[in-house]
Amino acid sequence: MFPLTDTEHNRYDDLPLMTLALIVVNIIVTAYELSLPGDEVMVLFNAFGSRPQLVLTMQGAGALASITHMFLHGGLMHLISNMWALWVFGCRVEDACGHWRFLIYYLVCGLIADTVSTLIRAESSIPGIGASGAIFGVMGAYLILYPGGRIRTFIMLWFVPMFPKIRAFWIILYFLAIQIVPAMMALRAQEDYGVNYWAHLGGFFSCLLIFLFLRPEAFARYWAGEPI
Amino acid sequence: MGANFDQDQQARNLELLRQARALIQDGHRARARALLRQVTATDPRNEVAWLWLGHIAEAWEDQVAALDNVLAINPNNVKARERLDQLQQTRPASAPLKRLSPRKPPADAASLDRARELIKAGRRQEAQTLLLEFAQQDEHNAQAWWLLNDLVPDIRDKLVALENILTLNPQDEKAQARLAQLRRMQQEPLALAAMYEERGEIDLAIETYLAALRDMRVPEERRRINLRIETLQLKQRQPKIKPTGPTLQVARLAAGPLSFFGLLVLIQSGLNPLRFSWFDILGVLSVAVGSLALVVTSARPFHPLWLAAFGDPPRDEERAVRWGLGLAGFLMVLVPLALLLMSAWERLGAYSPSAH
Repeated sequence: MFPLTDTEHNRYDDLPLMTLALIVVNIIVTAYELSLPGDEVMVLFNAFGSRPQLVLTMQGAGALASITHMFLHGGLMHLISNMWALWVFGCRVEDACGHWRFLIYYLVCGLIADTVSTLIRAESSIPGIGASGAIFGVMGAYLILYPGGRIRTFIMLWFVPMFPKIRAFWIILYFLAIQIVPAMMALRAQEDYGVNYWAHLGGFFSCLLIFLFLRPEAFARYWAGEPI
Repeated sequence: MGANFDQDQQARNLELLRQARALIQDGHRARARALLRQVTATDPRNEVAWLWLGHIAEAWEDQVAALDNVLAINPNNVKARERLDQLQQTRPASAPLKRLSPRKPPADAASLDRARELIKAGRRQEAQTLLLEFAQQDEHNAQAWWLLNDLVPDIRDKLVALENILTLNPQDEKAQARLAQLRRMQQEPLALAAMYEERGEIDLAIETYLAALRDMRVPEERRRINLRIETLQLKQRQPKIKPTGPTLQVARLAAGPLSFFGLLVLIQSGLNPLRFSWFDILGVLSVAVGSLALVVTSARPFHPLWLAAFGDPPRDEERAVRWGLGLAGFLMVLVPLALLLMSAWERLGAYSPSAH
């Protein structure tokens, strides 16, 4: 299942400036990464990725890396999948918050995801990179604010491609569910898998903080049980 | 194109009149007034809309003015003449406030205490009704007019209450200041409408926006105001939406940037709060105060917290205070953040990867 686009309209502002800006910055950083030779890319990741062992021993870039790691990606597919999800779910969440509050919310979700990952992978010195934690936070916010929002999705049913509109509730819960089992397995085996499932889960549950970032009118509408 | 526009506008006005009639029959006069004012804004020669406003406009003066408009359009309108005669003889029973008249026997003073109890219990409508009855019996009680000034939502009624207070005591400085403030608010209809919105007085907000629209010539502003009116009319159909209290609003919005900085400090300290330095704690306090300042600065004019914090300075002084507070807030957030990131950068420079 792959979400393609949000079919619902924004209420307050049609232009998702900050979502677009985040996508552009991520693309620029990844383009720079791809221009580097292999060993220099590793130096970049080691310096600006989030390495739990260094964080807990107060070495390395610390707070700076907790921000910069969100803008590093492990390749084109990593970048495309993250940025596509950001575009699908970020536009309306940004609309509900406003541009600057959305940016801070995005960064906060990334920081919380990084914190959870650091606590789980405390002994690891492998750098964590990627925007997935922040994006799972955006998806969680979308689930809270627009559970009934309809997302145009690509699915293959017995090799037949289909493009139905599916409620965001089901899509987001699906993506959440496929994190849980591998996360438990990684925790049990105390191994560092290629995918940082705990960062995804941490980012997702940071969505509860969305209420600190909503526009006043969106906040009032939410608590009145009205559509945002 | 012009003919189609006129026909479309006529059709819209007919629909608005139909809706207004249904609202009047159901007793929703305030909403009906808002619709009728929309009609007269786009069609100032609409006799029917003015005639109905002559019956349901809130103030006696507005009813008279509406009927005068009917007779200016159609001097032979018998219903308008009859209604005008009625109004000239008596003031309508529903008029909420009126100018002072000669002294009458004193009203029951216990009613004032009862009204205060009702206000404390949040039963404002009942308190307002009680105070109106009290004021009709004893118009020379300044305390009653002060309580009414706080209770009545419409700024025109507030002005009447304050004028009555000043008639009783021309030296009342508090009343003078408040009257000046309200008169200033009347001259800024957009800010006034925003205040009504925030207080949940949707009908008054729509009326005020419509009044602002009549005098607005800038197309972009007209578009913005029309959008606001449409949004509020939708809100009228969804009366459950209550505005959030200003204190909760400010606290909520200031907590966001603070949580961001707090997390950065925690990560920089190795996820151990016991390793916080005094610099970290001061930084958190600075960001907290700076965030609050930024949120308060961005509040609309005449926001209750702004008035409570800074009183009511003249407009130019208020702008200067907002700019200064905003700049101070911005620096109080930016400087600790920049220093923290610089310290992280230096730590990166000092880190030797060969040892790990």
